[in-house]
Amino acid sequence: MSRFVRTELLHCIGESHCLRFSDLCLVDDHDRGVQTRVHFLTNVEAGNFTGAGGLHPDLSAMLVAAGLCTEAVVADGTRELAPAHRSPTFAGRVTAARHAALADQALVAPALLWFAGDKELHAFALEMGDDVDFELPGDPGFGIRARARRVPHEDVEASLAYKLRPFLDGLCMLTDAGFTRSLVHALVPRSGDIERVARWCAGTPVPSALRSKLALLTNRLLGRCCASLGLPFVDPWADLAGDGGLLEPRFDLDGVHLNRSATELTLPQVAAALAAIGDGGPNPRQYELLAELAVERGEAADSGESPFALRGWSVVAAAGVRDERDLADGETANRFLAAIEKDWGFEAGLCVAAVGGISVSPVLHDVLDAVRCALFVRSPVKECTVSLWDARRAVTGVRLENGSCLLLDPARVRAALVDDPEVSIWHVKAFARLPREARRWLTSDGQWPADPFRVRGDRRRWCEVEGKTVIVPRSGLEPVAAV
Amino acid sequence: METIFPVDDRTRAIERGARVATAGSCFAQRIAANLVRLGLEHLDHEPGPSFVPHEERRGLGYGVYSARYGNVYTAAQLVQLVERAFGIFEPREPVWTKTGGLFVDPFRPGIHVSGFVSVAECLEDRRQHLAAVRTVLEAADVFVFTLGLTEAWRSREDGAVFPACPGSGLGGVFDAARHEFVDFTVRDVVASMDRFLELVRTRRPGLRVILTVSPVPLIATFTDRHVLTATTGSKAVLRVACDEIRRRHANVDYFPAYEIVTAGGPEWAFAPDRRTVEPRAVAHVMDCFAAQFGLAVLPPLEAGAPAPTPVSARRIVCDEDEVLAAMVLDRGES
Repeated sequence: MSRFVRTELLHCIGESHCLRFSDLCLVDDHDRGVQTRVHFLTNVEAGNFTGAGGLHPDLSAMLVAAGLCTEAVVADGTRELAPAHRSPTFAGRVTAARHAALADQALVAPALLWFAGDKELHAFALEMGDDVDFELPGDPGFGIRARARRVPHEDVEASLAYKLRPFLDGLCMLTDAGFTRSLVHALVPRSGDIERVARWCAGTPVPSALRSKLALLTNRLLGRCCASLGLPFVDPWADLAGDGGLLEPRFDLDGVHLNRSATELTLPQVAAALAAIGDGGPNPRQYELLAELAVERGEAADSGESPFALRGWSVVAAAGVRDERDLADGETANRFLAAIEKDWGFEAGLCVAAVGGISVSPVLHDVLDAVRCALFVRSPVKECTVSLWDARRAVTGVRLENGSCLLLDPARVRAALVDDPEVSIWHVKAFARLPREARRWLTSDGQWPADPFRVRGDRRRWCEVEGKTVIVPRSGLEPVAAV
Repeated sequence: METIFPVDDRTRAIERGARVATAGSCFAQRIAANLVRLGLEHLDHEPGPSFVPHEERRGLGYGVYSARYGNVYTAAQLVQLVERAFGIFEPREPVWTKTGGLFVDPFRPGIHVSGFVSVAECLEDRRQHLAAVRTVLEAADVFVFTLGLTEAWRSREDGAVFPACPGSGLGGVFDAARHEFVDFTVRDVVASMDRFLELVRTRRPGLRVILTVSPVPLIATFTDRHVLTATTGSKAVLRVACDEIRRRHANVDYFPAYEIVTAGGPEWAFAPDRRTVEPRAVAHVMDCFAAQFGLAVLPPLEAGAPAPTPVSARRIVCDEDEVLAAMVLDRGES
């Protein structure tokens, strides 16, 4: 019997190793689907991924053509890319949100799978020459050739890092821009078929052990970079390598690339990594825009000076708070809301903008007591999310997954917790709606919510985007009010 | 200051194209980096593997001096380097470990980005390094040595002198039973340089040696003196020792880099940190070097004329700074 499964589109981008992922659709046992779309960029290598002008022009063109980025000409005539899911304009944001709503999907960063490629490695192996070798830390058994001149490992690592730098810089750039759901595919084990490999190394046979050690070292560099950016690094090396650490012949297509059997093995790993990152953290663009609007309107309404500034507050890019002290002190947050009520009368989008930019945290319950925490938000905030630190815990009788949403009383938000030492509400955030904007939030039951701008209860993520969302320390907080 | 050229009468010219080797404390890097500008060949017999990109070499300790020995702060360290290169002395100090399970050579802990993977890798690299040092000493026409410090740490077992205190952040573990602090006297410095000259001239009889004293102040002292007092004392010892060595040996010249920089006053010579020598001061030092050794006829500078551009924008590798950075990191300070 036919059935429908929603699939996530996974863009596989890079050099020739991405080609084996062409036009695949994988549905796992949990009915999670991944559909691949390949963007083979024949001229883009790790070494030219970025340059003085930013991303490689072919890559930029691909991002625009695939609808992943929008392009705009800025004041000085240069062209700037912006992720489509984080449009720099209200019009773009509304369009993107509506498209997402129509598709009943979250407006989150697209899933991207990057391939650094082998070209640099082939060239580097040739540069090293066949009379040189090095000791790989944690060498799984490749060893050092007896008659080779031994060079320090850090010389090799520094050289590889230098060659990879444009790619790693590009990953940083893309992640910072909002492509938070990127995955990086590791280099795969080297083929032991020297003659077939030589075709890719200018006809020069490079010892398999040396090529393998270089690939492993490159993977470590890539993995380290991914860890620092919070990106999953998909490394199927162990599954593809045989006893000697070389590529199992049954996965070898042509001495360098892998065949479909290998893909059948690795795509589920990619899909699992994608599922693990979920929606990839908050999309703060809404709050950035609202904060900008608040400042603009505030200036217009108050003879040029914003009430925020009069109060000594500055509107931070998205959070609308000065620093963590505003968040750590619930009274401060409530006073802030009260001040907004007085100054702005809760009219139009302006106050909503202000509220939308602030967290009314904290609510943190004592782990030893049966605690019911309540948070009163005297504002026209329409919905709140309650994020739980731990998964599958009861809140107001509803079982929630970590990061799922509740539709709550617009004027009074209450979250009651059962006695459970594992559960703590550590973040309650009041979100805003634009005037006349339709309600969009639904109980999500752990699936991606319909709200395009939902953030996820991932504390580490929030910490990483400081200044654009809310960070709440877990210690030293008191409930705002207990019922 | 740029109009003052403190040129000695005694020194004779260095021929253009002469092969010059360099060693010394961090200021020696400034001299080394500018030699080519004067038409000299700066020897580099340990340039590193050919595959290492040019931009990464300096960070790995290549191309800083004529071999990859890192900073040689004391005369005792220099003479021991030569003894080790010629197989006369083999220190008992084991290879140092550092954080992350890596290893460093106790006699050049500052050459790394990370460290050696294993003791074997370290020892093999040391073997290649000492061979390169031998080649340098045998090939050089001129050896420029910049004396930097009198304070050092050495092994109680065999007197091996280290460029950094064991356990100070660059690697190793301090063991009071095996390591001790030493503050060399004029006599010590002269004796070390006597020994150095004796050794190298058996291999390279015509080698000219040019001594300089680094104008860079100490970043800290282990004596009971204030660092300012310790700096003055240390530089005075080195300066007097240079005169004494020059008196005792033909073919040894003194080049007054210390005087040129310090006489210009701190505002002219140093960055606000009072340790980094300003590019204009380095440029003038090199102009004076050229004048002293007949390498260029320098026209008198006109008032307001821009100073020559030195090759001084490179990062200077300083073990003291590295130690300080490691300590800050260890304490979790920003």
